[in-house]
Amino acid sequence: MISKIKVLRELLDNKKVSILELTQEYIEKAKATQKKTNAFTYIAEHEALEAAASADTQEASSPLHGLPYSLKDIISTKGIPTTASSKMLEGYVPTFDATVAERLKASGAILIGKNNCDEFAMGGSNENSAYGVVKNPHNTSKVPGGSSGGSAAAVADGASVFSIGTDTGGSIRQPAAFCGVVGTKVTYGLVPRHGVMAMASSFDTVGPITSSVYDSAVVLDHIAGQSSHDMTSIKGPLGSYVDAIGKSVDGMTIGVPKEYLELLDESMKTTIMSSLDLLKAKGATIKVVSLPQTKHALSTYYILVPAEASSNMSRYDGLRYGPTVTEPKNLEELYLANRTNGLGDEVKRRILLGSFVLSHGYYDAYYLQAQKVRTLIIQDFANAFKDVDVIAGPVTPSVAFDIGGKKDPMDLYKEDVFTIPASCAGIPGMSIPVSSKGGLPIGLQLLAPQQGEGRLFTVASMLEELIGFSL
Amino acid sequence: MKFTKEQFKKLEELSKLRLSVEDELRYATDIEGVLAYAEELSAVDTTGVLPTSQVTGLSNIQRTDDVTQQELESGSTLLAHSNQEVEMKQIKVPNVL
Repeated sequence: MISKIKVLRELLDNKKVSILELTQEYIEKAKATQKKTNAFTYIAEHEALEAAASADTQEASSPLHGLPYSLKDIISTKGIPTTASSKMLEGYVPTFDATVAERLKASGAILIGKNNCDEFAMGGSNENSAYGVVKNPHNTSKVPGGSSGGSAAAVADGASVFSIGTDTGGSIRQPAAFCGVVGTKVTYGLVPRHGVMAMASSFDTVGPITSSVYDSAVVLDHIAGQSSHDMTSIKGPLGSYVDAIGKSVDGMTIGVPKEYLELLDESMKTTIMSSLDLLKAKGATIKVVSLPQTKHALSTYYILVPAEASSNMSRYDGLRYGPTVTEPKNLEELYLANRTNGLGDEVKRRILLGSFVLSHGYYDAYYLQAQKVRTLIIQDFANAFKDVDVIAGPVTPSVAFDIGGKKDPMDLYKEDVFTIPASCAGIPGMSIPVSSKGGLPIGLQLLAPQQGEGRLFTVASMLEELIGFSL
Repeated sequence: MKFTKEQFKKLEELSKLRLSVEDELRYATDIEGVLAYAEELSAVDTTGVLPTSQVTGLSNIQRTDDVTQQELESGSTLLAHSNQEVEMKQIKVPNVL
Protein backbone atom coordinates (compact mmCIF):
# COMPACT_ATOMS: atom_id res chain seq x y z
CA MET A 1 0.00 0.00 0.00
CA ILE A 2 1.16 3.51 -0.72
CA SER A 3 2.55 5.61 2.08
CA LYS A 4 0.47 8.78 2.12
CA ILE A 5 2.98 10.34 4.52
CA LYS A 6 5.84 9.90 2.01
CA VAL A 7 3.80 11.20 -0.93
CA LEU A 8 2.45 14.25 0.89
CA ARG A 9 5.76 15.02 2.62
CA GLU A 10 7.42 15.21 -0.81
CA LEU A 11 4.71 17.54 -2.14
CA LEU A 12 4.89 19.80 0.92
CA ASP A 13 8.70 19.88 1.21
CA ASN A 14 9.03 20.76 -2.49
CA LYS A 15 6.36 23.44 -2.13
CA LYS A 16 4.15 21.83 -4.80
CA VAL A 17 1.25 22.40 -2.42
CA SER A 18 0.91 24.49 0.75
CA ILE A 19 -0.33 23.09 4.05
CA LEU A 20 -3.37 25.36 3.74
CA GLU A 21 -4.20 24.04 0.26
CA LEU A 22 -3.71 20.44 1.42
CA THR A 23 -5.91 21.00 4.48
CA GLN A 24 -8.62 22.62 2.35
CA GLU A 25 -8.52 19.58 0.07
CA TYR A 26 -8.85 17.18 3.01
CA ILE A 27 -11.69 19.18 4.57
CA GLU A 28 -13.59 18.82 1.28
CA LYS A 29 -12.80 15.09 1.21
CA ALA A 30 -14.01 14.78 4.84
CA LYS A 31 -17.30 16.47 3.91
CA ALA A 32 -17.73 14.12 0.93
CA THR A 33 -16.86 11.08 3.06
CA GLN A 34 -19.29 12.30 5.68
CA LYS A 35 -22.20 12.19 3.23
CA LYS A 36 -21.25 8.68 2.13
CA THR A 37 -20.13 7.01 5.40
CA ASN A 38 -20.98 9.29 8.36
CA ALA A 39 -17.36 8.80 9.52
CA PHE A 40 -17.15 12.10 11.43
CA THR A 41 -18.97 13.49 14.46
CA TYR A 42 -17.26 16.86 13.92
CA ILE A 43 -15.33 18.37 11.02
CA ALA A 44 -13.03 21.03 12.50
CA GLU A 45 -12.94 23.22 9.38
CA HIS A 46 -12.31 26.58 11.01
CA GLU A 47 -9.79 25.23 13.53
CA ALA A 48 -7.92 23.21 10.90
CA LEU A 49 -7.61 26.07 8.41
CA GLU A 50 -6.31 28.38 11.13
CA ALA A 51 -3.75 25.77 12.23
CA ALA A 52 -2.78 25.11 8.60
CA ALA A 53 -2.16 28.80 7.85
CA SER A 54 0.06 29.01 10.91
CA ALA A 55 1.88 25.76 10.05
CA ASP A 56 2.77 27.20 6.63
CA THR A 57 4.88 29.85 8.39
CA GLN A 58 6.87 27.26 10.38
CA GLU A 59 9.73 24.95 9.46
CA ALA A 60 8.70 21.28 9.29
CA SER A 61 10.20 19.76 12.44
CA SER A 62 8.67 16.33 11.93
CA PRO A 63 7.49 14.09 9.05
CA LEU A 64 3.91 14.73 10.22
CA HIS A 65 4.13 18.53 9.91
CA GLY A 66 1.17 19.82 7.91
CA LEU A 67 -0.52 16.44 7.42
CA PRO A 68 -4.32 16.32 7.99
CA TYR A 69 -5.46 13.69 10.47
CA SER A 70 -8.45 12.80 12.63
CA LEU A 71 -9.07 11.40 16.10
CA LYS A 72 -11.65 8.93 17.39
CA ASP A 73 -14.22 10.95 19.29
CA ILE A 74 -13.35 9.45 22.69
CA ILE A 75 -10.04 11.33 22.61
CA SER A 76 -10.23 14.69 24.38
CA THR A 77 -9.40 17.73 22.26
CA LYS A 78 -9.15 21.20 23.80
CA GLY A 79 -11.78 23.53 22.36
CA ILE A 80 -13.14 20.87 19.98
CA PRO A 81 -16.30 18.90 20.86
CA THR A 82 -15.73 15.40 22.21
CA THR A 83 -18.87 13.32 22.55
CA ALA A 84 -17.73 9.68 22.77
CA SER A 85 -20.52 9.31 20.17
CA SER A 86 -22.96 9.54 23.09
CA LYS A 87 -25.90 11.79 23.97
CA MET A 88 -24.41 11.79 27.47
CA LEU A 89 -21.64 14.13 26.28
CA GLU A 90 -23.60 16.16 23.76
CA GLY A 91 -22.12 19.63 23.73
CA TYR A 92 -19.10 18.71 25.86
CA VAL A 93 -15.97 20.63 24.85
CA PRO A 94 -12.85 19.56 26.79
CA THR A 95 -10.55 22.13 28.36
CA PHE A 96 -7.50 20.01 27.76
CA ASP A 97 -5.90 17.83 25.09
CA ALA A 98 -5.34 14.13 25.58
CA THR A 99 -1.62 13.30 25.60
CA VAL A 100 -1.90 11.77 22.13
CA ALA A 101 -3.61 14.94 20.80
CA GLU A 102 -0.94 17.09 22.45
CA ARG A 103 1.89 15.07 20.89
CA LEU A 104 0.34 15.21 17.41
CA LYS A 105 -0.25 18.98 17.77
CA ALA A 106 3.42 19.36 18.70
CA SER A 107 4.41 17.38 15.58
CA GLY A 108 2.65 20.00 13.41
CA ALA A 109 0.00 17.61 12.09
CA ILE A 110 -3.37 19.29 11.39
CA LEU A 111 -6.48 17.93 13.16
CA ILE A 112 -9.36 18.07 10.68
CA GLY A 113 -12.04 16.30 12.68
CA LYS A 114 -13.30 13.78 15.22
CA ASN A 115 -14.33 10.37 14.03
CA ASN A 116 -17.63 8.71 14.78
CA CYS A 117 -17.35 5.50 16.80
CA ASP A 118 -19.43 3.05 18.78
CA GLU A 119 -20.69 4.86 21.87
CA PHE A 120 -17.97 4.97 24.54
CA ALA A 121 -16.05 2.48 22.36
CA MET A 122 -18.56 -0.27 23.11
CA GLY A 123 -19.24 -2.26 19.98
CA GLY A 124 -17.79 -4.04 16.98
CA SER A 125 -19.71 -2.55 14.08
CA ASN A 126 -20.12 1.23 14.65
CA GLU A 127 -23.90 0.71 14.76
CA ASN A 128 -24.03 1.91 18.38
CA SER A 129 -23.33 5.62 17.87
CA ALA A 130 -25.89 8.21 19.03
CA TYR A 131 -24.90 10.17 15.89
CA GLY A 132 -25.83 7.54 13.34
CA VAL A 133 -24.40 4.35 11.93
CA VAL A 134 -21.07 4.52 10.08
CA LYS A 135 -20.93 2.79 6.69
CA ASN A 136 -18.12 0.88 5.05
CA PRO A 137 -16.67 3.01 2.20
CA HIS A 138 -16.17 -0.08 -0.01
CA ASN A 139 -19.86 -1.04 0.27
CA THR A 140 -22.20 1.25 2.15
CA SER A 141 -24.62 -1.57 3.01
CA LYS A 142 -21.88 -3.10 5.17
CA VAL A 143 -20.46 -2.14 8.54
CA PRO A 144 -16.99 -0.59 8.74
CA GLY A 145 -16.33 -2.52 11.95
CA GLY A 146 -15.95 -1.00 15.39
CA SER A 147 -15.58 0.56 17.66
CA SER A 148 -13.11 2.74 15.68
CA GLY A 149 -15.29 2.43 12.57
CA GLY A 150 -15.29 6.12 11.70
CA SER A 151 -11.49 6.28 11.95
CA ALA A 152 -11.01 3.30 9.62
CA ALA A 153 -13.66 4.53 7.17
CA ALA A 154 -12.10 8.02 7.03
CA VAL A 155 -8.61 6.69 6.29
CA ALA A 156 -9.89 4.12 3.77
CA ASP A 157 -11.91 6.78 1.95
CA GLY A 158 -8.96 9.17 1.75
CA ALA A 159 -10.46 11.76 4.10
CA SER A 160 -7.67 11.50 6.71
CA VAL A 161 -3.98 10.79 6.19
CA PHE A 162 -4.21 8.86 9.44
CA SER A 163 -6.49 8.52 12.44
CA ILE A 164 -5.96 7.52 16.05
CA GLY A 165 -8.35 4.91 17.39
CA THR A 166 -8.53 2.77 20.49
CA ASP A 167 -8.40 -1.01 20.81
CA THR A 168 -9.76 -2.76 23.88
CA GLY A 169 -10.80 -6.09 22.32
CA GLY A 170 -10.13 -5.47 18.62
CA SER A 171 -11.53 -2.01 18.00
CA ILE A 172 -8.60 -0.88 15.83
CA ARG A 173 -7.70 -4.22 14.23
CA GLN A 174 -11.21 -5.30 13.24
CA PRO A 175 -12.35 -2.05 11.52
CA ALA A 176 -8.93 -1.84 9.85
CA ALA A 177 -9.52 -5.34 8.43
CA PHE A 178 -13.07 -4.53 7.29
CA CYS A 179 -11.99 -1.25 5.65
CA GLY A 180 -8.71 -2.44 4.09
CA VAL A 181 -6.30 -0.26 6.06
CA VAL A 182 -3.51 -0.89 8.60
CA GLY A 183 -4.47 -0.90 12.26
CA THR A 184 -1.98 -1.19 15.12
CA LYS A 185 -2.96 -2.22 18.63
CA VAL A 186 0.01 -1.45 20.86
CA THR A 187 1.32 -3.11 24.01
CA TYR A 188 -0.82 -2.04 26.96
CA GLY A 189 0.67 1.20 28.28
CA LEU A 190 2.83 2.03 25.22
CA VAL A 191 0.69 5.03 24.20
CA PRO A 192 -0.61 7.03 27.20
CA ARG A 193 -4.35 6.92 27.84
CA HIS A 194 -4.54 10.34 29.51
CA GLY A 195 -7.52 12.16 28.03
CA VAL A 196 -8.93 9.03 26.38
CA MET A 197 -12.33 8.20 27.83
CA ALA A 198 -11.92 4.93 29.67
CA MET A 199 -13.90 1.84 28.76
CA ALA A 200 -11.99 -1.02 30.37
CA SER A 201 -8.93 0.39 32.08
CA SER A 202 -6.80 -2.77 32.11
CA PHE A 203 -7.50 -3.46 28.40
CA ASP A 204 -7.73 -0.04 26.68
CA THR A 205 -4.96 0.89 24.22
CA VAL A 206 -4.52 3.83 21.82
CA GLY A 207 -3.05 3.37 18.35
CA PRO A 208 -2.81 4.48 14.71
CA ILE A 209 -4.99 3.58 11.72
CA THR A 210 -3.15 4.32 8.47
CA SER A 211 -3.02 3.48 4.79
CA SER A 212 0.37 1.76 5.03
CA VAL A 213 2.66 -0.02 7.49
CA TYR A 214 5.34 2.69 7.16
CA ASP A 215 2.78 5.39 8.05
CA SER A 216 1.77 3.43 11.15
CA ALA A 217 5.39 3.31 12.32
CA VAL A 218 5.88 7.05 11.75
CA VAL A 219 2.74 7.94 13.72
CA LEU A 220 3.62 5.50 16.51
CA ASP A 221 7.10 7.06 16.80
CA HIS A 222 5.33 10.32 17.66
CA ILE A 223 2.70 9.10 20.11
CA ALA A 224 4.39 6.29 22.07
CA GLY A 225 6.23 6.87 25.33
CA GLN A 226 5.65 7.50 28.99
CA SER A 227 3.49 10.32 30.27
CA SER A 228 3.38 11.58 33.85
CA HIS A 229 -0.39 11.88 33.41
CA ASP A 230 -0.81 8.12 32.87
CA MET A 231 0.76 6.07 35.60
CA THR A 232 0.26 2.86 33.59
CA SER A 233 2.32 4.13 30.66
CA ILE A 234 5.52 2.26 29.85
CA LYS A 235 8.86 3.78 30.82
CA GLY A 236 11.25 4.42 27.92
CA PRO A 237 13.52 4.31 26.01
CA LEU A 238 11.59 2.85 23.09
CA GLY A 239 13.63 3.26 19.93
CA SER A 240 12.22 4.09 16.52
CA TYR A 241 9.56 1.86 14.93
CA VAL A 242 10.44 3.21 11.48
CA ASP A 243 13.86 1.53 11.88
CA ALA A 244 12.10 -1.86 11.93
CA ILE A 245 10.50 -1.28 8.52
CA GLY A 246 12.08 -3.21 5.66
CA LYS A 247 14.35 -5.38 7.82
CA SER A 248 14.85 -8.98 6.82
CA VAL A 249 12.52 -11.76 8.01
CA ASP A 250 15.20 -14.39 7.27
CA GLY A 251 15.43 -16.73 10.25
CA MET A 252 12.16 -15.55 11.83
CA THR A 253 9.58 -18.11 12.89
CA ILE A 254 5.91 -17.29 12.44
CA GLY A 255 3.41 -19.31 14.48
CA VAL A 256 -0.17 -19.92 13.34
CA PRO A 257 -2.53 -20.99 16.15
CA LYS A 258 -4.34 -24.19 15.26
CA GLU A 259 -7.29 -23.12 17.38
CA TYR A 260 -7.76 -20.03 15.15
CA LEU A 261 -7.54 -22.12 11.94
CA GLU A 262 -10.21 -24.51 13.26
CA LEU A 263 -12.67 -21.63 13.47
CA LEU A 264 -12.17 -20.45 9.88
CA ASP A 265 -13.95 -21.46 6.70
CA GLU A 266 -11.78 -22.90 3.91
CA SER A 267 -11.56 -19.72 1.83
CA MET A 268 -10.38 -17.56 4.76
CA LYS A 269 -7.93 -20.27 5.83
CA THR A 270 -6.50 -20.40 2.29
CA THR A 271 -6.21 -16.59 2.16
CA ILE A 272 -4.33 -16.41 5.46
CA MET A 273 -2.00 -19.36 4.79
CA SER A 274 -1.18 -18.40 1.20
CA SER A 275 -0.29 -14.87 2.36
CA LEU A 276 2.04 -16.26 5.02
CA ASP A 277 3.59 -18.75 2.56
CA LEU A 278 5.06 -15.77 0.67
CA LEU A 279 7.32 -15.14 3.66
CA LYS A 280 8.97 -18.56 3.25
CA ALA A 281 10.73 -17.36 0.11
CA LYS A 282 12.28 -14.63 2.25
CA GLY A 283 13.65 -17.11 4.79
CA ALA A 284 10.87 -17.22 7.38
CA THR A 285 9.56 -20.47 8.81
CA ILE A 286 5.83 -21.00 9.31
CA LYS A 287 4.76 -23.45 12.00
CA VAL A 288 1.54 -24.34 13.75
CA VAL A 289 1.34 -23.45 17.47
CA SER A 290 -1.30 -24.05 20.09
CA LEU A 291 -3.16 -21.49 22.22
CA PRO A 292 -5.43 -23.85 24.19
CA GLN A 293 -7.16 -21.07 26.17
CA THR A 294 -8.54 -19.52 22.95
CA LYS A 295 -11.95 -21.11 23.59
CA HIS A 296 -12.21 -19.31 26.94
CA ALA A 297 -11.06 -15.85 25.81
CA LEU A 298 -14.44 -14.53 24.67
CA SER A 299 -16.12 -15.48 27.98
CA THR A 300 -13.23 -14.04 29.98
CA TYR A 301 -13.36 -10.77 28.06
CA TYR A 302 -17.14 -10.35 28.26
CA ILE A 303 -17.06 -10.79 32.03
CA LEU A 304 -14.04 -8.56 32.78
CA VAL A 305 -14.65 -5.72 30.31
CA PRO A 306 -18.27 -4.96 31.25
CA ALA A 307 -17.17 -5.10 34.92
CA GLU A 308 -14.48 -2.47 34.33
CA ALA A 309 -16.78 -0.49 32.03
CA SER A 310 -19.59 -0.39 34.59
CA SER A 311 -17.16 1.18 37.03
CA ASN A 312 -15.84 3.68 34.47
CA MET A 313 -19.35 4.65 33.38
CA SER A 314 -20.38 5.60 36.91
CA ARG A 315 -18.90 9.08 36.45
CA TYR A 316 -21.57 9.89 33.82
CA ASP A 317 -24.43 11.30 35.82
CA GLY A 318 -25.14 14.71 34.32
CA LEU A 319 -23.66 16.61 37.28
CA ARG A 320 -20.28 17.77 36.05
CA TYR A 321 -20.81 17.51 32.29
CA GLY A 322 -23.45 16.53 29.79
CA PRO A 323 -27.14 17.33 29.40
CA THR A 324 -29.38 17.10 32.45
CA VAL A 325 -33.06 16.83 33.29
CA THR A 326 -34.56 19.91 34.87
CA GLU A 327 -36.41 19.95 38.20
CA PRO A 328 -35.74 16.39 39.35
CA LYS A 329 -37.42 15.43 42.65
CA ASN A 330 -34.09 14.55 44.26
CA LEU A 331 -30.50 13.57 43.50
CA GLU A 332 -31.32 9.90 42.90
CA GLU A 333 -34.00 10.91 40.39
CA LEU A 334 -31.44 13.10 38.60
CA TYR A 335 -28.95 10.24 38.31
CA LEU A 336 -31.58 7.76 37.09
CA ALA A 337 -33.08 10.13 34.53
CA ASN A 338 -29.78 11.48 33.15
CA ARG A 339 -28.19 8.07 32.81
CA THR A 340 -31.23 6.36 31.35
CA ASN A 341 -31.78 9.19 28.82
CA GLY A 342 -28.13 9.78 27.99
CA LEU A 343 -26.65 6.31 27.64
CA GLY A 344 -27.35 4.04 24.68
CA ASP A 345 -28.42 0.43 24.44
CA GLU A 346 -25.06 -1.35 24.38
CA VAL A 347 -23.66 0.89 27.12
CA LYS A 348 -26.63 0.10 29.37
CA ARG A 349 -26.29 -3.60 28.60
CA ARG A 350 -22.62 -3.64 29.62
CA ILE A 351 -23.23 -1.59 32.76
CA LEU A 352 -25.93 -4.04 33.87
CA LEU A 353 -23.80 -7.10 33.04
CA GLY A 354 -20.73 -5.58 34.68
CA SER A 355 -22.63 -4.63 37.83
CA PHE A 356 -23.97 -8.18 38.07
CA VAL A 357 -20.60 -9.97 37.82
CA LEU A 358 -19.13 -7.66 40.46
CA SER A 359 -22.06 -8.02 42.85
CA HIS A 360 -22.07 -9.85 46.15
CA GLY A 361 -22.61 -13.57 45.74
CA TYR A 362 -21.53 -13.61 42.08
CA TYR A 363 -18.11 -11.93 42.17
CA ASP A 364 -16.14 -15.12 42.87
CA ALA A 365 -17.95 -17.30 40.34
CA TYR A 366 -17.74 -14.81 37.48
CA TYR A 367 -15.27 -11.93 37.92
CA LEU A 368 -12.59 -13.63 40.03
CA GLN A 369 -12.72 -16.80 37.92
CA ALA A 370 -12.39 -14.72 34.72
CA GLN A 371 -9.35 -12.93 36.18
CA LYS A 372 -7.73 -16.31 36.81
CA VAL A 373 -8.49 -17.53 33.28
CA ARG A 374 -6.93 -14.27 32.03
CA THR A 375 -3.71 -15.42 33.71
CA LEU A 376 -3.93 -18.71 31.78
CA ILE A 377 -4.42 -16.81 28.50
CA ILE A 378 -1.29 -14.75 29.26
CA GLN A 379 0.60 -18.00 29.89
CA ASP A 380 -0.66 -19.40 26.56
CA PHE A 381 1.05 -16.58 24.65
CA ALA A 382 4.19 -16.70 26.80
CA ASN A 383 4.54 -20.41 26.00
CA ALA A 384 3.95 -19.90 22.28
CA PHE A 385 6.46 -17.04 22.06
CA LYS A 386 9.20 -19.36 23.40
CA ASP A 387 9.08 -21.11 20.00
CA VAL A 388 8.04 -18.35 17.58
CA ASP A 389 8.88 -14.68 17.01
CA VAL A 390 5.47 -13.60 15.79
CA ILE A 391 2.01 -15.19 15.79
CA ALA A 392 -0.12 -14.78 12.65
CA GLY A 393 -3.72 -15.50 11.85
CA PRO A 394 -7.03 -13.98 10.88
CA VAL A 395 -8.44 -10.75 12.27
CA THR A 396 -12.10 -11.58 11.64
CA PRO A 397 -14.15 -14.72 10.86
CA SER A 398 -15.35 -13.16 7.58
CA VAL A 399 -15.44 -9.94 5.60
CA ALA A 400 -17.61 -7.01 6.72
CA PHE A 401 -21.19 -8.03 7.48
CA ASP A 402 -24.46 -6.25 6.68
CA ILE A 403 -25.55 -3.21 8.68
CA GLY A 404 -28.32 -4.58 10.90
CA GLY A 405 -27.17 -8.11 10.13
CA LYS A 406 -26.45 -9.16 13.71
CA LYS A 407 -29.26 -8.57 16.17
CA ASP A 408 -28.22 -10.89 19.02
CA PRO A 409 -25.47 -9.30 21.15
CA MET A 410 -23.63 -12.64 21.41
CA ASP A 411 -23.42 -12.86 17.58
CA LEU A 412 -21.68 -9.48 17.55
CA TYR A 413 -19.41 -10.39 20.44
CA LYS A 414 -18.31 -13.57 18.61
CA GLU A 415 -16.91 -11.41 15.78
CA ASP A 416 -14.06 -10.54 18.19
CA VAL A 417 -12.96 -14.14 18.74
CA PHE A 418 -9.54 -13.63 17.08
CA THR A 419 -8.73 -10.21 18.49
CA ILE A 420 -9.79 -10.63 22.12
CA PRO A 421 -7.07 -13.07 23.30
CA ALA A 422 -4.26 -10.59 22.57
CA SER A 423 -6.17 -7.88 24.44
CA CYS A 424 -6.44 -10.13 27.50
CA ALA A 425 -2.64 -10.53 27.44
CA GLY A 426 -1.82 -6.86 26.77
CA ILE A 427 0.34 -7.81 23.76
CA PRO A 428 0.60 -5.80 20.53
CA GLY A 429 -1.12 -6.74 17.29
CA MET A 430 -1.49 -5.40 13.80
CA SER A 431 -4.04 -5.88 11.05
CA ILE A 432 -2.85 -5.50 7.47
CA PRO A 433 -5.03 -5.97 4.38
CA VAL A 434 -3.91 -8.93 2.27
CA SER A 435 -6.83 -9.83 0.01
CA SER A 436 -10.48 -9.26 -0.70
CA LYS A 437 -13.71 -11.17 -1.31
CA GLY A 438 -16.69 -9.74 -3.12
CA GLY A 439 -15.07 -6.30 -3.12
CA LEU A 440 -14.56 -6.33 0.66
CA PRO A 441 -11.08 -6.42 2.27
CA ILE A 442 -9.62 -9.27 4.32
CA GLY A 443 -7.07 -8.51 7.05
CA LEU A 444 -4.26 -10.66 8.39
CA GLN A 445 -3.33 -10.30 12.05
CA LEU A 446 0.18 -10.36 13.46
CA LEU A 447 0.88 -10.58 17.21
CA ALA A 448 4.10 -10.16 19.19
CA PRO A 449 5.16 -10.29 22.85
CA GLN A 450 4.78 -7.14 24.92
CA GLN A 451 6.93 -4.31 23.48
CA GLY A 452 7.52 -6.43 20.37
CA GLU A 453 6.07 -3.82 17.99
CA GLY A 454 9.37 -3.77 16.08
CA ARG A 455 8.85 -7.41 14.97
CA LEU A 456 5.33 -6.56 13.84
CA PHE A 457 6.56 -3.71 11.67
CA THR A 458 9.30 -5.88 10.15
CA VAL A 459 6.99 -8.77 9.19
CA ALA A 460 4.09 -6.50 8.20
CA SER A 461 6.24 -4.31 5.93
CA MET A 462 7.63 -7.41 4.20
CA LEU A 463 4.14 -8.85 3.67
CA GLU A 464 2.90 -5.49 2.40
CA GLU A 465 5.73 -5.40 -0.16
CA LEU A 466 5.19 -9.00 -1.28
CA ILE A 467 1.41 -8.76 -1.61
CA GLY A 468 1.02 -5.20 -2.96
CA PHE A 469 -2.62 -5.06 -1.84
CA SER A 470 -4.94 -2.45 -3.22
CA LEU A 471 -8.73 -2.22 -3.56
CA MET B 1 -28.81 -17.92 35.50
CA LYS B 2 -32.38 -16.69 35.22
CA PHE B 3 -33.13 -13.34 36.81
CA THR B 4 -36.12 -12.92 39.08
CA LYS B 5 -37.91 -9.60 38.88
CA GLU B 6 -36.45 -8.60 42.25
CA GLN B 7 -32.90 -9.54 41.22
CA PHE B 8 -33.11 -7.44 38.07
CA LYS B 9 -34.60 -4.49 39.95
CA LYS B 10 -31.64 -4.67 42.33
CA LEU B 11 -29.30 -4.69 39.34
CA GLU B 12 -30.97 -1.57 37.94
CA GLU B 13 -30.45 0.07 41.32
CA LEU B 14 -26.73 -0.85 41.34
CA SER B 15 -26.39 0.44 37.77
CA LYS B 16 -28.33 3.65 38.48
CA LEU B 17 -30.65 3.01 35.55
CA ARG B 18 -34.44 3.11 35.34
CA LEU B 19 -35.78 0.85 32.60
CA SER B 20 -39.22 0.30 31.12
CA VAL B 21 -40.80 -3.14 31.58
CA GLU B 22 -40.05 -3.99 27.93
CA ASP B 23 -36.41 -2.94 28.30
CA GLU B 24 -36.06 -4.90 31.55
CA LEU B 25 -37.18 -8.04 29.75
CA ARG B 26 -34.94 -7.37 26.77
CA TYR B 27 -31.79 -6.64 28.76
CA ALA B 28 -32.44 -9.53 31.14
CA THR B 29 -32.69 -11.92 28.16
CA ASP B 30 -29.51 -10.50 26.60
CA ILE B 31 -27.52 -10.72 29.82
CA GLU B 32 -28.79 -14.23 30.57
CA GLY B 33 -27.53 -15.18 27.09
CA VAL B 34 -24.04 -13.81 27.77
CA LEU B 35 -23.90 -15.47 31.19
CA ALA B 36 -25.04 -18.79 29.70
CA TYR B 37 -22.20 -18.56 27.17
CA ALA B 38 -19.72 -17.64 29.91
CA GLU B 39 -20.86 -20.48 32.18
CA GLU B 40 -18.13 -22.63 30.57
CA LEU B 41 -15.53 -20.69 32.57
CA SER B 42 -16.69 -22.42 35.76
CA ALA B 43 -15.30 -25.71 34.40
CA VAL B 44 -11.79 -24.31 33.86
CA ASP B 45 -9.34 -25.60 36.48
CA THR B 46 -7.82 -22.49 38.07
CA THR B 47 -6.41 -24.22 41.17
CA GLY B 48 -3.34 -22.31 42.30
CA VAL B 49 -3.76 -19.67 39.54
CA LEU B 50 -3.47 -16.06 40.65
CA PRO B 51 -5.94 -13.54 39.22
CA THR B 52 -4.64 -10.92 36.77
CA SER B 53 -5.82 -7.37 37.13
CA GLN B 54 -2.76 -5.65 35.63
CA VAL B 55 -0.97 -7.04 32.56
CA THR B 56 2.37 -5.21 32.67
CA GLY B 57 3.38 -6.02 36.23
CA LEU B 58 2.81 -2.55 37.70
CA SER B 59 1.88 -1.96 41.31
CA ASN B 60 1.67 1.01 43.66
CA ILE B 61 2.90 3.64 41.20
CA GLN B 62 3.45 6.88 43.10
CA ARG B 63 4.56 10.40 42.45
CA THR B 64 5.41 13.28 44.76
CA ASP B 65 2.41 15.27 45.92
CA ASP B 66 3.17 18.46 43.99
CA VAL B 67 0.28 20.54 42.65
CA THR B 68 0.88 21.45 39.01
CA GLN B 69 -0.15 24.64 37.24
CA GLN B 70 -2.69 22.63 35.21
CA GLU B 71 -4.33 21.41 38.41
CA LEU B 72 -4.49 24.97 39.78
CA GLU B 73 -6.23 26.21 36.65
CA SER B 74 -8.57 23.32 36.04
CA GLY B 75 -11.00 23.91 38.90
CA SER B 76 -12.96 26.87 37.56
CA THR B 77 -12.84 25.69 33.95
CA LEU B 78 -14.24 22.32 35.02
CA LEU B 79 -17.19 24.01 36.69
CA ALA B 80 -18.03 25.70 33.40
CA HIS B 81 -18.94 22.31 31.90
CA SER B 82 -21.74 21.65 34.33
CA ASN B 83 -25.34 22.36 33.35
CA GLN B 84 -26.29 22.41 37.04
CA GLU B 85 -26.43 25.53 39.18
CA VAL B 86 -22.99 26.56 40.43
CA GLU B 87 -22.67 28.42 43.74
CA MET B 88 -19.44 29.43 45.47
CA LYS B 89 -17.38 27.25 43.08
CA GLN B 90 -19.50 24.22 43.94
CA ILE B 91 -22.10 22.35 41.90
CA LYS B 92 -25.48 22.58 43.62
CA VAL B 93 -27.33 19.28 43.52
CA PRO B 94 -30.98 18.48 44.31
CA ASN B 95 -31.94 17.17 47.76
CA VAL B 96 -30.59 13.76 48.59
CA LEU B 97 -33.90 12.83 50.22
